[in-house]
Amino acid sequence: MLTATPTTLAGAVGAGRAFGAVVTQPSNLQLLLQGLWVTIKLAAFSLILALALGVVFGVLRTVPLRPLRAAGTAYVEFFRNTPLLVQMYYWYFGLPVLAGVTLPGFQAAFLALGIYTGAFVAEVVRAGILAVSPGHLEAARSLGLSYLQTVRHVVLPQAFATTVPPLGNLAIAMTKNTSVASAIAVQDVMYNGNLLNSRTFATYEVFASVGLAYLSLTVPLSVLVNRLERRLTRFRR
Amino acid sequence: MRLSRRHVMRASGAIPAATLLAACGASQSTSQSSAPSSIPSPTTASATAFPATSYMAKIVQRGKLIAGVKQDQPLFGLLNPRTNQIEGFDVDIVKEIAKALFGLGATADPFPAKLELRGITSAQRIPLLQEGAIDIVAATMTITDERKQQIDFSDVYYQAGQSLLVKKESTVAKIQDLDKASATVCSATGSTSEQNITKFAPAAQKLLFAGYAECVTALQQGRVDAVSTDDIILAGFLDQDPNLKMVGGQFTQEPYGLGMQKGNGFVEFVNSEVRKMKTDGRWKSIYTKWLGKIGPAPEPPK
Repeated sequence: MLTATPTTLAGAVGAGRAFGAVVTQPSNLQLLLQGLWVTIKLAAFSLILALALGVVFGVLRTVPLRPLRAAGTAYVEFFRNTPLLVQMYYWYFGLPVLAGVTLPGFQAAFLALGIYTGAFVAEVVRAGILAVSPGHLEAARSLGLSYLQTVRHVVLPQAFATTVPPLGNLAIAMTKNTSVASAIAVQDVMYNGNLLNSRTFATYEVFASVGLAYLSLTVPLSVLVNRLERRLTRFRR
Repeated sequence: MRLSRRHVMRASGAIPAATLLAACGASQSTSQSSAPSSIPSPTTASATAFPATSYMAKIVQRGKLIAGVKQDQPLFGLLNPRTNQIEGFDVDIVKEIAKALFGLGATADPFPAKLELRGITSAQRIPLLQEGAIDIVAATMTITDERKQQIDFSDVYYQAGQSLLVKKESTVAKIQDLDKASATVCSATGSTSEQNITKFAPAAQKLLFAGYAECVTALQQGRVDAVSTDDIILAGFLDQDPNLKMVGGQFTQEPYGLGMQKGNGFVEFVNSEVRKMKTDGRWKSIYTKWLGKIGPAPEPPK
């Protein structure tokens, strides 16, 4: 803000309003907070779906059965390689045409975000599994553990520790990606921010607040991930 | 010649540039001044004749006029996939402004050499003007007192009115029919239409998208009971889908204006050009070209 030219400052303040006057007004603040709550719900539900899908398909990509691996690969490549906005539109506008199912915006956004992010989670899980030393696997099998027992007690605990930092990254990216849902009229903080902006024209102020709202979610998430990582990798130190 | 004219212009800042130019042209070539009723063809000299500090001079110096237009609104500003160019009523209006700025002939096309068209959404119109990213907005923008505090508006260049687009089998006949919690109306975020829905049907649920194309899809899929915005915009969609109909007449008056950054002085030039367009037949020919199917061209708005 210090480097802003006088013209930008004038635009920021608008018609003689003090910066912050619009968003601190109770009804406007309430609108943004309602949106933030929708964003939180969408992020939380989608993250659960993404983790569930990611673990299943990530493990599938490492099993010694070709058809299962192929299914995992197909899922990852299809959903990872198309834009999220396209997938949002697909679940919202495409499904009624293709399957005769009309989903409300929130549910369509939940599916789009969960399935899209799940593809990235699957890759992280696969990498984590492959990073476990083959020696550990051989040792486990020599000790008489079955394949599933080996996966459950030897592979996944180690894989989990290595995947926490990249999973944290994905969780943060996905939280921000929830903003794409405003394109299909999900009334999240982005949508309500747009609405508020169109009524007040306090563009800088409104979107600074929307940015802060996302930070209020992603910064604690970062801290949490860092702590979890430290705890899970204690055995290495 | 160039120098002396600039000198004259600067000395008489109060006289509108166009008037003075016309006077100059008349004194120069007597053959042209004989018929005042004929369509005035802008002279090439106008390109260099703006006062050096004026906004027009800035545009001329840059080499092109940058205009923000809709790219998803049939008849007014729509991206033609075959030519990959934005076309429509609004586009043709800014083309006339660009021609006047750069002193191009009546049949010349200023695009793309002298005119840059940026496809923008409703919500981007005022911020982009305020940032100075675009010189002028011609994007079906209604003149309102609120917006007048933020930007400069030209005279009304089109008089539209808000109406309703519904499915053919719908029983909705007027906006009041939608004033209940079970009704959902679709419009665009950042539009006056959206605010008018609240005013005329306060009980209705609203679904807001970035553009009206999404709204029409939502209507076709039964997600909403009606799409409401200016009749002209709805007419464009009606043209594409015979299973829809327009009802409810004009329940608001929406005077469209060209938007410019507040206080930079561009508005006087644009207004003089808009007035000329309305009287010399150019406005009517643009109307007939784009909106002729609705009916014969009316008198231009005052």
